Amino acid sequence: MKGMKVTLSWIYLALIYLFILGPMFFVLAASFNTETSFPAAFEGVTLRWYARIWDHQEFLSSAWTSTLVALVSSAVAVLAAFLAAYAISRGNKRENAWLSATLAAPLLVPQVVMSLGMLQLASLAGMGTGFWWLVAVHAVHNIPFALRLTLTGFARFDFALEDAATSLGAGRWTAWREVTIPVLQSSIVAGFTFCFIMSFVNLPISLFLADTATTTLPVVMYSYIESRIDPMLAAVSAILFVLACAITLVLDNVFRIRLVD
Amino acid sequence: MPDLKLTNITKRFDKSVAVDDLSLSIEHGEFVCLLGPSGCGKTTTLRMIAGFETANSGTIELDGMDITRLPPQKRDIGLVFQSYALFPHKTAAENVGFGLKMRKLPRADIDSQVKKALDLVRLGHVAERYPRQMSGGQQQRVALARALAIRPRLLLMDEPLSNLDAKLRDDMREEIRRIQKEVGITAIFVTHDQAEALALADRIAVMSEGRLMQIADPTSIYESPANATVDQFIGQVNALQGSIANVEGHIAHVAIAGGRYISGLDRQIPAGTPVLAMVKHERVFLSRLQPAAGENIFPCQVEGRTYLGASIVYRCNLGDQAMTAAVPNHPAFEQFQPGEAAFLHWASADCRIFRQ
Amino acid sequence: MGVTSLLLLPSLLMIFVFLGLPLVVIFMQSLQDNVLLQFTPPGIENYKYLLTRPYYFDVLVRTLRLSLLTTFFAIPLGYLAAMAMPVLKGRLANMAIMALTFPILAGPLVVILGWMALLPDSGPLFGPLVRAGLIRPPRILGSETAIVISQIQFVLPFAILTLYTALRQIPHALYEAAASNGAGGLQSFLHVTLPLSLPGVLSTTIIVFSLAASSFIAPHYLGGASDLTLTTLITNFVLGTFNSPLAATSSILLLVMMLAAMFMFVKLFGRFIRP
Repeated sequence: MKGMKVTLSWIYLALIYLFILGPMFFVLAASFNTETSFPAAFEGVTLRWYARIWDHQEFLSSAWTSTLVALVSSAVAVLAAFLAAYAISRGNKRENAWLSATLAAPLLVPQVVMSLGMLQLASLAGMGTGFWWLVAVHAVHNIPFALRLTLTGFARFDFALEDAATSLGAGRWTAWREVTIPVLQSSIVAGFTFCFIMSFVNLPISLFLADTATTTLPVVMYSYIESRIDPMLAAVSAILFVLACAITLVLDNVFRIRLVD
Repeated sequence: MPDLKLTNITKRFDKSVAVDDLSLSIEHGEFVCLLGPSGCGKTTTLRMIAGFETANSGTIELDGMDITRLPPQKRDIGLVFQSYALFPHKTAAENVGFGLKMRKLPRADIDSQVKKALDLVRLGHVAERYPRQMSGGQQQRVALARALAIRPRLLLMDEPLSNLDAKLRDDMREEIRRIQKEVGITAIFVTHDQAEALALADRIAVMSEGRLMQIADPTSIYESPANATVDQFIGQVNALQGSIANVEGHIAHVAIAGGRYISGLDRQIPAGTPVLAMVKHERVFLSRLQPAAGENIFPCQVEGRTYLGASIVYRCNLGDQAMTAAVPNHPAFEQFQPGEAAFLHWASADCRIFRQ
Repeated sequence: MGVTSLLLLPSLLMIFVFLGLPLVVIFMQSLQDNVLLQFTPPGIENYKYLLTRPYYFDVLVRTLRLSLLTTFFAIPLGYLAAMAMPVLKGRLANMAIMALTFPILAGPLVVILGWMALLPDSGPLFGPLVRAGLIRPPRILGSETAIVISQIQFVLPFAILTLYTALRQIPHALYEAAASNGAGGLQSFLHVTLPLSLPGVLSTTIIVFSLAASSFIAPHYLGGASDLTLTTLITNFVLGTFNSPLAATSSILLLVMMLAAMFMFVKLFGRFIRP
């Protein structure tokens, strides 16, 4: 009876993971396919689609733009979220429904709507959108994720550590630098990494708010797909997928990040 | 001159009063326990002395200097926390040296003082270990060494033994007392455990609902509590309700339910006043034969028996009153079974009378 | 305490300025006249227009239908997965949790590309069956079914992660208590697991529904040309016809629909949640 339950659980989980991850393996496979169309039956192995990415300058330059936007917006999001998480955890507040609703709002409002609002705000102010607009909306959109991860860190943080540092002569900022931040390092790194990737692969916000100078990689992919889909796009996607997997595994091994406690 | 002086300290949180008009002074080199049930304000008092909370009114003086509004990092007060609060990312030596580093001492001085502090708590050999590589007792001693390394003017300890198991707790108790004497530092120790307070303290300050009930040496606290609250909190006590009938010399007679009279030490309470008469469990004797003479002799029925090893506790029924007697588990003392008839008696000197 | 609360300011300020303010602007815009509709602003003509044209009204209904269907499938699928997770132990368990984030982190475009490779009638899923004559070409790609399938796949990791956390918060002793009182597996599930996980199910439902209703890439690529949802409609108004007021109006309709759905979920589950 118990054995059967375990076997069924294994089978079910295998199916679920197949469903969740399966489609991406077809992208991986297609990126190595010698066939020039997408989708296509598998013909043979080649690396030429990866080589071809280098011929498309717009992919490389937009990847750099994406990196910049992601770096700045994640730094902002994590900083804001860390401060908020500190206030929530240290204040030991009773569940404040309005506060948690406000802090979760960026997760619940569709990104398309958020970006449309910023677009209209910009035109109302007679300004063009661009790098900093992207950064702002990416950062706001990422605050709930960063907050979630830093709050998990604070849940295991003993605030007596700060009191101990203070009683030993450390000022508020020194206590943060010497104790709070180092102890919570892994949550901060995890928060930053997740925000970085979420921002790097984000399409809807960038689609609305990017100007010609700040076209991000997903926007370039989007406009590429509008005209044609070929295995080169699969190669770009495969790189993104492998990077995502690699970064997650590094987080697991080096920083022992736990998504659930 | 007292080392630490608290004058009329009051602390409110929102609407509740955590500490109410508390005054307390502690002499140099003294070991004082703040004792009371949880929520009595003892931890808040400690945190105000340490500087983590600011009193709404009143002053705190240390060595004659007003420190009421001084930030905690400038107070030079060593603190030992219930959770130890050792920095998990620093070794034992780095933990102990933290306060010295904050004081910007030269490297060599830090090293030698860290070594001295670790030797004091007999942990020189774990200097390079991280907290999670040490046992609870070791962590506790590193925390103590860390608090002492800054040569504080005062050592505060907040329930430092409550996370240790019973045997270790007894050892650490001795250890803390030894170190405190060796260093000659004034110490305040917060606890809710009366045995801990009785064993450790030069003086015990009993707190209840934010107020200081009594401060005295352990014997006085136990044998001559200042009021019913202290009496009830320290040790196990029988409390009998009644009213003063008359007074003869040092002895007051109290009328209790069932038309009985008991006698206890007079406190100059006028006749007719409702009072509580208190006798500790172990001061109540139980015997089969009626004692030949004396006060407070009542026939009773043994109703319950609890075997505690070192003593046996009997619940007895006097008709309208229930009383408990704790009898040493020793061949010199009689033993009883539930249902037996017996006589309860106690000396008037062991019975204290308080206004209700 | 007072000083510490100030640390909330940066986040709140960012949310008010970059989310609250834009929402106000959207609402104002939705009351403006435009190339399609002439009236003296402010007015609610845009709302009347979108809600009375069957074509646009269908977009609203379709968005609601697709999001509800996604939620309806994703919650039980995710709940079962979260319940099955404990069979994985140690490193494998942690790997499994990590793997859930792969599609989220690889980005929706990558995932959609996968479905575009998988779902065609000639693709690896149906191709062999169609060629063997076992089934007729199912024409999944370009249909609402394709959208729902990919949306379920997209929201499942979120659902499993939050439900797994909710289930883990139930103390193990409660199951032992239930078993010692004679409860079997099913009874223990009905009387312990289900009621205690309901708050988690409610928040997961809200998250999953909003993710589905917000999803823009799945309907854009996997749906047919006529399978517009509110998000793709907004995009068309913005990038296609440059009609800002109608884009704003559609946005407000989307937000109102989401709020109404959330309110409904809270009412629905709230009746069963014990304080």
